[in-house]
Amino acid sequence: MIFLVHVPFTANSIEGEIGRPDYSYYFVMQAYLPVLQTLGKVVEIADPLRDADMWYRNCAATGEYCVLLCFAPPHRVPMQIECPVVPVFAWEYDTLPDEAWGDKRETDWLRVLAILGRAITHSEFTADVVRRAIRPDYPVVSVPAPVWDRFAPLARVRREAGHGSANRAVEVDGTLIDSRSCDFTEQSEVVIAAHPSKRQRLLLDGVVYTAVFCPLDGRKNWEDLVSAFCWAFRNVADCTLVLKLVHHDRDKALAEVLALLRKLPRIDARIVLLHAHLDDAQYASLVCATDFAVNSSLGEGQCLPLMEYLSAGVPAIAPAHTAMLDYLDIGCGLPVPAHEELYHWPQDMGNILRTRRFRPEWESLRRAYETSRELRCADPDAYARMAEAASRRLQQHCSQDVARERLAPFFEAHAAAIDYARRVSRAAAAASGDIPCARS
Amino acid sequence: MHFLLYSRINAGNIGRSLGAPEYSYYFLLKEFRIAFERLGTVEVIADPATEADAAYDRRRARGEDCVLIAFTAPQNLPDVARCPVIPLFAWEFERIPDEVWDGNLRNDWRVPLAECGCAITLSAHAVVAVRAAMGANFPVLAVPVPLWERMAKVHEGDDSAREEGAHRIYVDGAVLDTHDFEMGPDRLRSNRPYASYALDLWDGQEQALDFRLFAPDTGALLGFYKPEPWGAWSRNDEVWIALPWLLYGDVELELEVRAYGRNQDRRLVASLGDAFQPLCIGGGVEAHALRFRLTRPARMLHIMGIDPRPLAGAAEERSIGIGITSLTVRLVGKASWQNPIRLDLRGNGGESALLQDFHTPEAWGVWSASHAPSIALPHPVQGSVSMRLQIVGHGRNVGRPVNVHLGTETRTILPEARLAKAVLRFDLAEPAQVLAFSGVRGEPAGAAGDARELGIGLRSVTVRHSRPSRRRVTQSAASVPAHLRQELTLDGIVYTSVLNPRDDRKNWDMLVSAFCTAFADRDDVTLLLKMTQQLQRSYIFELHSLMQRLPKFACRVVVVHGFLDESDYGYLIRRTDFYVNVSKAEGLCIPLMEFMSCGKPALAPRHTSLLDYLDDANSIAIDAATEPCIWPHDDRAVLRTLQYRVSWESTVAALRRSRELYRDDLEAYRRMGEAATGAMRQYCTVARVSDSIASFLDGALADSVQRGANQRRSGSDR
Repeated sequence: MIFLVHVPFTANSIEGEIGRPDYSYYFVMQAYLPVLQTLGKVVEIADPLRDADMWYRNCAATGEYCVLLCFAPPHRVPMQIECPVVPVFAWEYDTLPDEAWGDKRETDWLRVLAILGRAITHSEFTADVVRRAIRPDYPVVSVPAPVWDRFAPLARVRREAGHGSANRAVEVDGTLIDSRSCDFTEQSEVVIAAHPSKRQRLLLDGVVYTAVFCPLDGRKNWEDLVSAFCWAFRNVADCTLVLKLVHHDRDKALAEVLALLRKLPRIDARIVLLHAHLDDAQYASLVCATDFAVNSSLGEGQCLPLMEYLSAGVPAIAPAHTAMLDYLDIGCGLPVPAHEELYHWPQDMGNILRTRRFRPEWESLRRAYETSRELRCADPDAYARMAEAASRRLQQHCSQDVARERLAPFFEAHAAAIDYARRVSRAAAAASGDIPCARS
Repeated sequence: MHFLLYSRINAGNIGRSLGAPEYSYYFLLKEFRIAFERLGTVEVIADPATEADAAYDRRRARGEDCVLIAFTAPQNLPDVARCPVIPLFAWEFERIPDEVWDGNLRNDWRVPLAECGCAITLSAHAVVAVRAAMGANFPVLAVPVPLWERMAKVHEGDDSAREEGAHRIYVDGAVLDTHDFEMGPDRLRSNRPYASYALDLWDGQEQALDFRLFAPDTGALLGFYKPEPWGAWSRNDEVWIALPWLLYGDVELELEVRAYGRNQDRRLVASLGDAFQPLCIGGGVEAHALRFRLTRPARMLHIMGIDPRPLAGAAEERSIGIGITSLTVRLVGKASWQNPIRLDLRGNGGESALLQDFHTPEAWGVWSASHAPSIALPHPVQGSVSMRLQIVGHGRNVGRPVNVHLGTETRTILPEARLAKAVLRFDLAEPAQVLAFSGVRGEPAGAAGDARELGIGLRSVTVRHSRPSRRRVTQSAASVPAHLRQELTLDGIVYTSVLNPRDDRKNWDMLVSAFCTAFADRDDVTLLLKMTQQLQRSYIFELHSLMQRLPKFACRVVVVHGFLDESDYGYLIRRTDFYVNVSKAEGLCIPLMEFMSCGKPALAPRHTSLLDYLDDANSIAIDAATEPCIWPHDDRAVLRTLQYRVSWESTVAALRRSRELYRDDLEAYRRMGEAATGAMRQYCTVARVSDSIASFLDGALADSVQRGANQRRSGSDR
């Protein structure tokens, strides 16, 4: 099997793209690679229009299965090539865009997916949406980015360290703004200017909550998780919320969060803004220093950070909707109820209200903070059980083994279908007297 | 006991204060007056600083108690030295203001409340909030507005009104009815542009619309991309701009526009009503003044012939064509209001476009086709005018009164069996542009093969200014609605909500979207929104935008903008089947209580003051849970208190459940209505309200008022 893999962003450009739409496809592809490599030969191609068909024709000549896995939303998938294409995409709304906008037919995802014939996505929620939109037996498989294997070892590290000892340190090359040493009521430009990016150490204590998000991504609804933290721990000093901001423009990201912090009441608990590119070791130390991962989004295609933290045995507080339904339950975290609301597809310029997103209950989020602290402080055994369950649960969800188990039959069926089609067309051609030849 | 009642807004200044923050306190005072009258003598004062202590001293000299009931938010309490003051205020949030800002100590409500020593509020929720800040023993009373007796009259009128016109309501103002519109993405077209549209009359003064990012006028754009800091790009090959005024005469529209790609120097066409002008935009940001001669009123600017195809290879992927930043409307030459109007309504007269609810004009004239036909005049008229009609009645309309409405004025006419001249005189303080009839009876045409129903027939209408008005002619900058007495027929199940659309807490756009989702395929349900806001422009664009963005729906949404007098309000209540409220917080919600008093079950969240009177017997609950919000009068806009986030999903479910209840178990629906009436009879009678005020005053009050007075005195000594 030959897997041609393509993502619109490359390792060289990714740093400048972080926080832009679709940037996370690069990380999803990176997580898929080790699994694909065990199933066949993997070739990263930068320009599918130029390169894909060459590979495909060579394979077709020897009868080898060759597919282009395009890690991109369906409207960015190349359609004018001969090589079979399987899109690998994330989606968090309850309907698929099914309309050609102007003369752009690729914006009709139903058409694109129907032509391509099969697809890979990252949650059962999305797979159901696709099946509901196209047909119940449409071959779509949910394969979450296999991140478990990389983060599972941290679960043991955390367990052995007694789940976050009193003082935990995270080394960062970047910006730290800490409510213990900074007045959030000051103008955000002043605050940002007073906190240059540099190599420094973040010391954490108490119950540590971490949220990883792009503050300019409206879907993240991060305002809720910050304000609920403030209300829950107004008079509780031993809690810290670390906001790890993901966006290439530091000042813009910080300003966005500071604008909210200015409006919130002064609280005893601690809030730390962290903007830095963390290497693997630094990121691991932040994961290990965290007691609970937090998310309050309106919809998730899969949510890599949440999956990473849970894999590392960090229980999570997150809304019970979309992708989280696959891996978050009361055993491994505190699911927050959410309610449907009317919304538009993000790429729909007319903002027509024809899909749903899912708004978490702020009040439940606030209670989840209180309950989680209680659990962490008063019942270490129950917390340890939850941590263990989290990593075990994610093993079932996003380990490389699980990904392989789902992908292998998916590609085998695809290969068989292509093979069958080839034989049928050859037989038909023979019957009609045409000379069988490869498609040109 | 002598009660001095005070609100910052009073009968003298209410006209200038519509929509002001303290506006509703005036109505609270009016409603509560009757309860205080049962307890003693009542005097309404306008200036407590000069009047309260004097009145107090006089009464004390006679050995009588005297107290000032101040209907106002605590930070606005008047300065009074000796007379005890009890604030009566509404509060709908979790925490009362307990911080000082803008250097005003009284913004920390604990200060004025401690000075008064006690308080009256409208809900148990507010009592909890006050006690949380003031201590568990702080004397504070929760008492609702005593409106039961006032509404009982409407309720009793119920049965008699059931037969005649039970499906109709009457509105003096503008109506936006989704049944009159063709809607869809980038599309919004009214089939009754004059009669059935919420619009303001244009006073001929220069007016401008701003289409830059966050400007309120961007909702006027149809077929454009989301606004950007400079303005908005077109999206399709034709676009519309809905003007919030009915234009007339010779007008100039100045557009600040730009063109992209192939649209530079392209020959476009702009139309307004039935007038057309070429439009050709060059390479820069340009101002183009287009002149139109309008023979009939118009409000929709239409630009056609845009090439929306993206340029090959360009980074711009959108189908942008032309961009617009602003639009200015001005009258060319002099206002034509004084010009006489002559409408020839015969088949060849050419005025049929002005007619609403009339049959096709015939050689002799035109027959009406409904009980409330109307005619848009080519331009507004004002002052003293005389109107000459050539009119005929059909069948039962002969010799029976038909109402003729022009602006806010109504005259009666008795049509004869043959065409006859009738002269009516009007004295219009405000401009008027729609001539409407009501009370017309539909009668079969009678002739073989003619299935029409006819009412009155008209051949001509002439309007001329007879002499200068005796009344002061309004020339204020405030907008004047196109006053029109309208009858609306509402079939099926009617849901009503009465609200101020500018009040963010009312959540009306969520209600509309939930309603249109719940009943997307039901044509037997209507949502009626009665807007209590003077300015249509303040919400009409938002409504436009929502109507374009909602997927197709079969249900009906009617927005009523205008004044309903007591009798019309009674019709509205009687015609309603459910009252629906999706507010984020409520201090009391008087309309909900009024409708419940008349036996209308509610759909509403169970939060804040609504907890005091809603239960499963009298209403269908909508899920809601807290979220942070600001104190409404805090300009710092900091998050300090909590309101409720009402679930859209649960609103949809509650609406569907209510329809099932009504359709499948009318008996259960009636029981719910009776429970609503029963709850109000328990909750808000004058007797109950005045009794609880009396015992409150007797009990805790005596001490605390004294304590408060002492504190005030010691405070002023400092």
